[in-house]
Amino acid sequence: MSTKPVSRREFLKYGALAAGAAIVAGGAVYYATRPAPPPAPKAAIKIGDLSGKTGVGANWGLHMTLGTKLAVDELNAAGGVLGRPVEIVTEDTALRADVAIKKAEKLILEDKVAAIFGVLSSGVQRAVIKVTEKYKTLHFLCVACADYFRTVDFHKYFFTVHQDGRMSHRALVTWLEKEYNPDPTKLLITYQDYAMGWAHERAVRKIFEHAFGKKGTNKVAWPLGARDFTPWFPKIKEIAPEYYHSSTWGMDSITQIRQMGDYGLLKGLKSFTGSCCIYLTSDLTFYGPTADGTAFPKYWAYPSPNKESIDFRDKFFATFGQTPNQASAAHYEGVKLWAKAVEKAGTTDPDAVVEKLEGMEYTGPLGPGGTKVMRKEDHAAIFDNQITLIDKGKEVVVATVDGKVCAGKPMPKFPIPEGKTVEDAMEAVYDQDSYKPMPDIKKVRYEA
Amino acid sequence: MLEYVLRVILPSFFDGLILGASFGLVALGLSIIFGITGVINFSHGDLFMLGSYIGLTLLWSILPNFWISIIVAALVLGAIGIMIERLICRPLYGKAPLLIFVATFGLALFLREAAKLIWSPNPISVDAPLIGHMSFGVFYYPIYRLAILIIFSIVYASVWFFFNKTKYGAIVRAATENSQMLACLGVNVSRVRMFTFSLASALAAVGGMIMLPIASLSPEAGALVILWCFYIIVLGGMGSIGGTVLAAFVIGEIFTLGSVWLEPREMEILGFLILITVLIVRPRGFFGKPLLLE
Repeated sequence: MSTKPVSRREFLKYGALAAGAAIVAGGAVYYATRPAPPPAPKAAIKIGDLSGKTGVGANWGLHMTLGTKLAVDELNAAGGVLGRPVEIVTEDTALRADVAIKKAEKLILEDKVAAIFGVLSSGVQRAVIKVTEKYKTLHFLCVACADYFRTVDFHKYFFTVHQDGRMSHRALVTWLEKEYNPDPTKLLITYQDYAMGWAHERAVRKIFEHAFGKKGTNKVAWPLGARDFTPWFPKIKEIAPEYYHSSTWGMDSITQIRQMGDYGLLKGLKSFTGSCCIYLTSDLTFYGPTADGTAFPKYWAYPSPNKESIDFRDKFFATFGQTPNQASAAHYEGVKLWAKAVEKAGTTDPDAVVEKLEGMEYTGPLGPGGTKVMRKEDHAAIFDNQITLIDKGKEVVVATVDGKVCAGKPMPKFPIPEGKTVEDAMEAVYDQDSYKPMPDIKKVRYEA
Repeated sequence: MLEYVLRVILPSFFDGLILGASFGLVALGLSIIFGITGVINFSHGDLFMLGSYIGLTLLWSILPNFWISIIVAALVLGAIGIMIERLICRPLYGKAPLLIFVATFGLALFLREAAKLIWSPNPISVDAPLIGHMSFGVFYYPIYRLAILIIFSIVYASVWFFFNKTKYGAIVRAATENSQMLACLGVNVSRVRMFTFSLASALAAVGGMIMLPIASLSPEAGALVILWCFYIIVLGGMGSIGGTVLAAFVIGEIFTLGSVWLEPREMEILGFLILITVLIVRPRGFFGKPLLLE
């Protein structure tokens, strides 16, 4: 046997070969025995949260987002929708139609959202609904409440989750007539001078006219975002109303009601009613005693005995440390409704989801409880309205009104006659609506 | 008829006094600044807004009550006024008027955007320090508004006393008439200008704070105020102290009493028609100095 010493070159050569073989062998062993890699996460389903987060309606916009977020968190905790997580893309319209159009297009074309939930302000909503129609995008309306959207502006992919002004005012006016039998010439309607205000003034006037044969209501309009309402007070004093209906929302509502209270304009009224948006549940402390005695129709009332409403408000408070309101409740329900329809359809394809939504029965926090139906013809959510009174700063539900009757005749895509305006067409909507039978009113007392 | 006057006209008359008084304070400052420096300070309305926000922040954080926060806000804005004069306006005296216009307009935009960033763009509504209303038989009037009628009276009386009964007030009045002559007489006109900006800013803050509980506050509030101020000083006469104050009250009454018979927005249109007419017929306003081409 040779005992020739190994040269340095040979040592390095054979050592490198041995090391390389060891690395390859080790790598092969590791690769063969390593744990299976986790599956790639499924792509999230994006939904759009589109509303005014700044300006007079900021407190509404915030709650719309919180309601959406609570629903999405629950869906994701339960495994998402179709096994995919849901992701919210939030955009601020700043309550401007031009901004809202751009944001809606961004949500649809860039973010590729499966649905849009919003918007705030009926004027802005009228612009956004055209965008969702153009791009055939599911659009769930949960807050803006003018009467255009189930009628002249309606499209196949659009759904109303709450109750619009036509529906809620039918409930309120019927209740008002039953309780007070008001003289219409002594009724004053004040409203913000834009789409929602026009719609609500029209609703009250027309329902009184057609349902009860009463004409001659008075009206005073002020701009959306007016900081000071006192310039309109002389007109109000001239009218000297006995029955007063206010269609104002957001910071305007707080300022207006306070100022009217300061000037004693709310004293001595036989009735003081408001549209559904006059007060946010979460804002009641700002009004002080001036809000007491106001009655208004609510699609979500804090003291509702609806079990799902109680669950929602408890979860909302536990999660965000704030009192919920109708904006958060409606968005919560809207997202859950969409998710249910997507699960049933097995896809996010808008046409398939629409097919499942039409006629669908479901439950949720809106309304006094029981099963709701998404009406097929005009995609209106049918459930009973809750007439709510403010009593010592708290909401008390004093009556429920039959929602199916209040929804009125479905009139989707109501035509605008040649040479006429949208407002002319909307007057015709009420002229052609049905007012028999009267909705049933059930007296109740729900307090939290 | 009497009931109509008491129930509708009289409260509107009081509202007109308040409106005129609050904008008059701001316009007075603007007029004095113009009279002494020749500067039209486009950011002056935003000082009204800034004073309100600063006072409100102090009230919500460290100050015990609303009335003290008015005084502190005035002092803070007075200091800000000095900085504006020294850093922005003084380097531009004697230069092309467009430069000062751009500088003060830019400052206005800066203040508005800064307010949005610091305090958010959302309007704020503040409780009045005195709540409730007083009954006068056929009409009610808020107690706070009655109180501020008294407060404005005191403020205006103090301003009148300063300008008419004090040496420094006489110097400021002289400077509005002819600052060059004043300089020749050995008065430190730079210091007078600085003081003027400080006083004007403080008055804007007082007006802003007092009006805070009456209308909601937002960063855009200053844009509306400066329009009113221009309206007032055009009618009253640029640089005329008495003319500015009188015009403020007249305009306040025109707008509020006019709203009894016309829509408030119709009143705004009418108001600007009056402004244009005055500019055409008597460009110096009712009490201003004759202009070069008059």
